Amino acid sequence: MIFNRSILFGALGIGAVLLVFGAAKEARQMGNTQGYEPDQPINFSHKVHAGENKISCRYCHYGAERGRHAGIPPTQLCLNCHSEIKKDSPEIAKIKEALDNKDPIEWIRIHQLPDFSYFNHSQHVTAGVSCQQCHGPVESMTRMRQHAPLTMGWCLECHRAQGLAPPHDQRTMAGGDCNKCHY
Amino acid sequence: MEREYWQSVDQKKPASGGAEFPEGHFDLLSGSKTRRDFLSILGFSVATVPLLTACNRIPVQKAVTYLKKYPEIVPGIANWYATTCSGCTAKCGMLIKTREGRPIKAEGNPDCPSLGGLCAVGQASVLSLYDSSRHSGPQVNGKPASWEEVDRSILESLRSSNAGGKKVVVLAKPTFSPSTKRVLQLFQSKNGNVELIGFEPFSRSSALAALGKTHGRATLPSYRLDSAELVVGIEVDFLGSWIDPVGLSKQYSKARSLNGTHFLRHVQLESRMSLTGSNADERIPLSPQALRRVLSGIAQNIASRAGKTVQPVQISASESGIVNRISNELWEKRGKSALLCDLNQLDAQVIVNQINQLLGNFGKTVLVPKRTPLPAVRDSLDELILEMEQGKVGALLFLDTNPVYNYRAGERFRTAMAKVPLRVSLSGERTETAVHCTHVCPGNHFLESWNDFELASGSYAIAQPTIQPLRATRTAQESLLVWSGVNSSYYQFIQDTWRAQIYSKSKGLSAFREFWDKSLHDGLSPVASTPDSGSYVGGAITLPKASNDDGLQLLVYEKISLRDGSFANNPWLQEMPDPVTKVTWDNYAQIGVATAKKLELEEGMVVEIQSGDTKISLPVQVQPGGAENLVAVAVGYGREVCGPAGDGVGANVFPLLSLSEGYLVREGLPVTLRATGQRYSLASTQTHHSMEGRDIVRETSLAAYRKDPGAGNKKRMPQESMWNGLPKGEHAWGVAVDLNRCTGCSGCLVSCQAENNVPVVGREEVKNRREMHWIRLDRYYSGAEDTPEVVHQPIFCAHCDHAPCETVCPVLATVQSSDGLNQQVYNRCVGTRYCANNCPYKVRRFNWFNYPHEDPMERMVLNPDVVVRTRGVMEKCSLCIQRIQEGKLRAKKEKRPLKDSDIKLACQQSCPSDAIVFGDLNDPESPISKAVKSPRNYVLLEELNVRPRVSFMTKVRDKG
Repeated sequence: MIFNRSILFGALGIGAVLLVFGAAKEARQMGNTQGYEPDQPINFSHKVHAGENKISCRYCHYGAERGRHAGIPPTQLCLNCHSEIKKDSPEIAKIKEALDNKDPIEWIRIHQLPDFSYFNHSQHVTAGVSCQQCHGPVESMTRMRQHAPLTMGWCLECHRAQGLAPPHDQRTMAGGDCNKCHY
Repeated sequence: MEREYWQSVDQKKPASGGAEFPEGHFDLLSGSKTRRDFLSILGFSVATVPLLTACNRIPVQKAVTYLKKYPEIVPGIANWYATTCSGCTAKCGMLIKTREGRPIKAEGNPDCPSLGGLCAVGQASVLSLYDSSRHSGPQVNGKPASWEEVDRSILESLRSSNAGGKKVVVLAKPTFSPSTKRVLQLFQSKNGNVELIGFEPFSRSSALAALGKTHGRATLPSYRLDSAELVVGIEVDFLGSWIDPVGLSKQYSKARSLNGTHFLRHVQLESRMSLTGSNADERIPLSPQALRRVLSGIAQNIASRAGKTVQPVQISASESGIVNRISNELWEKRGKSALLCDLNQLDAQVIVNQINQLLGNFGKTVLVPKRTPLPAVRDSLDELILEMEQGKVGALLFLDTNPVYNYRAGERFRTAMAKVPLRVSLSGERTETAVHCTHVCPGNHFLESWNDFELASGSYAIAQPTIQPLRATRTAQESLLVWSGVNSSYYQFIQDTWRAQIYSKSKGLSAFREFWDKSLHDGLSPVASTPDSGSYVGGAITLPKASNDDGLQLLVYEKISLRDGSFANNPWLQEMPDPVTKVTWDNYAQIGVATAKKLELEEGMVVEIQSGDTKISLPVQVQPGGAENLVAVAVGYGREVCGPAGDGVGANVFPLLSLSEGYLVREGLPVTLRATGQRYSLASTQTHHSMEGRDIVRETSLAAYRKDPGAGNKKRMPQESMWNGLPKGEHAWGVAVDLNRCTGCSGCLVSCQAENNVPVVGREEVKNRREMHWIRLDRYYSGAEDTPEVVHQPIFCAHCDHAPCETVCPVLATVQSSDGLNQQVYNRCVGTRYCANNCPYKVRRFNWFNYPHEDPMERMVLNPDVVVRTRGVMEKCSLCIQRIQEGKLRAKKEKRPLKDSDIKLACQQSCPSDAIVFGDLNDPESPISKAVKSPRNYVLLEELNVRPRVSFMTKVRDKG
């Protein structure tokens, strides 16, 4: 009887530990939206623009060189070309409508960092990091997709490879100074 | 000699302070919770984790783009605009930081006469901009209307008022703006019988009139304290709220910096303990009536030394001792002294000018600016009330005035107002007066408007909009232009003024466009008319009247935060602890220790203050250093209509006041006091986070300092460490706070709040000692209760090398950075609060709640570079890490090494007395390295060996 009871408690204990570990593992993935590929209000294809027509990323995402945000381009910027090209497309019509009605397009945001993480595009662009290193083969994506997990571990992988963050076994400061990114 | 420091009267008593947690407050801990209950709670939390992760997707966020490309806006990069603060008469230059078109931070403009300082009111103005209780658009008879409708109806009423032979009255706050003056004059000329009346609830009317009488120009004097060696203040809070507090603080701290050839000695004679008095080398508490007698005595003494004869003054022996001593000092420092006075009595102000003239101070330390205000200010509106009651007034326009609240006979004004057919309020904020107006034509907030100002220094400043009007409001001047039949924007109008009045003085060195653009960029015109000594008219020396009745007297004063009450709806200012009393969210009857004992009153007892038939109830605050027989009450409280933050806070003292010879009796009004038997606890931060009398403030006298610069300080002791020591980083940030410069004005506190998204917690939470300010200003008293000396000491995270908070954090949420910062990592913090317990400086703040930021308008003030902390997270000063990172990034992108001058902390930038030095300790030439090596430098609680990076410099007082 006593034997049975200890088996029962042991099993319960192991079960509880597994549950906690499983939950912890799950919890770590919480908010990880890798692969997110929502429908956008306008069927914009990066494959056509960046891939086939080889338009530089920074033509539209001009903020990337200068500031924290790469930015989604102002609606008017589309018409720099589309006032001449594919004028009759129903997608372009949506853009013109937005401009005429002064009703900005509400894109679905794909790349989101938590509020407590500070990321600056210009810092990385100035250091020569290519857009694809984080955003993946955008030039082949018809619909935009989140390529990387954008987790802290993923950031650090690259920074460690560059020698910009201490190795993995440093426990107090996993990525060097916390307040390089968190404030 | 060891001094005993104490923070409040209660602390001197054997039993002090209340328990932090009232009994029965924490049910979860005190209730009978069994193991099973605990398991069920745990079970719930384990079960919720998979549930949460199952719905993996965080909420969908929209990315809304700009329609057009605005070349000046790059998302994530701040734009700065130079403008001018409208908070008080000083008109300090401001730089407004805007992000994506939203003003989020106000800083001082170093190129303006205010030299880059900005007070708490200026700092908090960005929050007032986003006050969602401001009027959303024009109204007619309480109903929303369009601007066309309002204009049509007002023009019609103005015509009919003229036709009926009635007059139009513009009740305006006096202005120094050349364009606003022109607008007023234009309105007057275009609308027939218009009278312009200047009204300010807490005006300097007597000082203006006195200067007009003695020096031929009715204006506010300006000062050059930086070239003075002695300043004597009489009931004047010149470092806090008088004329130009920031400019005067800059001069004051410069003249007392210990680097110069002389040290400005400051003697203060005053009844209540003001911020200025708390900084004085010598402070003599005297009742308002005694102050008048002493002023007469000084006048008589100086006049007889200058060879003039005046009638002798009847004063007591102790008072004549004070008179002789101060007159001696003033006479000795002729031409190098200044007598400042804020008694609102014409003959007192005249005699102050005459004393300064006899001392030869005019033109040297006391200047007469060339600007004059329009309309001329008056304290009495009784004549206007009479005219209204007789039906002589056809229209009444309120331009930045609110007499129903802040005129002494506000109630009578309100009743009389009803007889005026057209009543128009032009202020954007809700006011007690606007409620009783037929038309509400809300003006813009000053950060949404164009304006210009003539400064005391003689230069001209521009105020430019930093955002489009958030509501359907219109600049008041533009409304007046429309009602004058002028079809020009106020912006155009200002340019016309500048072309005619200011550009013409520049002798046409550049085209007007260039001249304008440069002025707009700098915030200041390159043209200036230097203030001079005026032309002394002289006149006989008549001593001010003073009564020998030393009964209980009332003094009303402006608080540094709310001033005359216009900022009552600003929660940052409401929650800013008063620099001296440390009380937030209330006004109170301030009574000196001896008087409180005599009247058997204690802190928190509610008393009724009565003058004539009017009375108000207020809780008592017992103030060390308060003069005998004095009750001091702050104006600006007891607002009824201003918005959710200010409504019903404190009591309105204006109705108690009376007039004497047309001037508001602000000091010395006889009153009676009656205890009501009720009690009210004030939300004070006074004894919170106290360091319990340890060696934390170090000070010395000037004489001892001259002999040994390290006087009053102890030598640093070499200490062993059980830690290996930190690896030396690229930078080593450090801060030194000069206690000799710090005046305690609390500008840094609000600046920090704006920069770091520090929440407001409200009165009840302040009472629970849960205020969130990252900087607290400790105020210590020493000496006798009736004549204490005061020291102010700003305390924020000390960024210790051996930080005690770090060793106790179970989740490594607070760790040292390689640059020596003590980092608080919000996303690691689980809220054990061990760190706060173990911090010897008590600078950590815990988020007990999710402090609301639901108001979409108010939320626009948040700094997007700093996260808003959630409930259960510890926070504290980060040394503006976002600014350090920004400076580093800028240097990196420009491929140059980082200099410590690239970075300015929010508190350091705005400090009106330059008390905060920040920089890199690794650079031996940096100002911080020099400050740390100074013999005056010390760290707090050195014996704990926590090795803080924030150090202090001893305070030096000239004890004569």
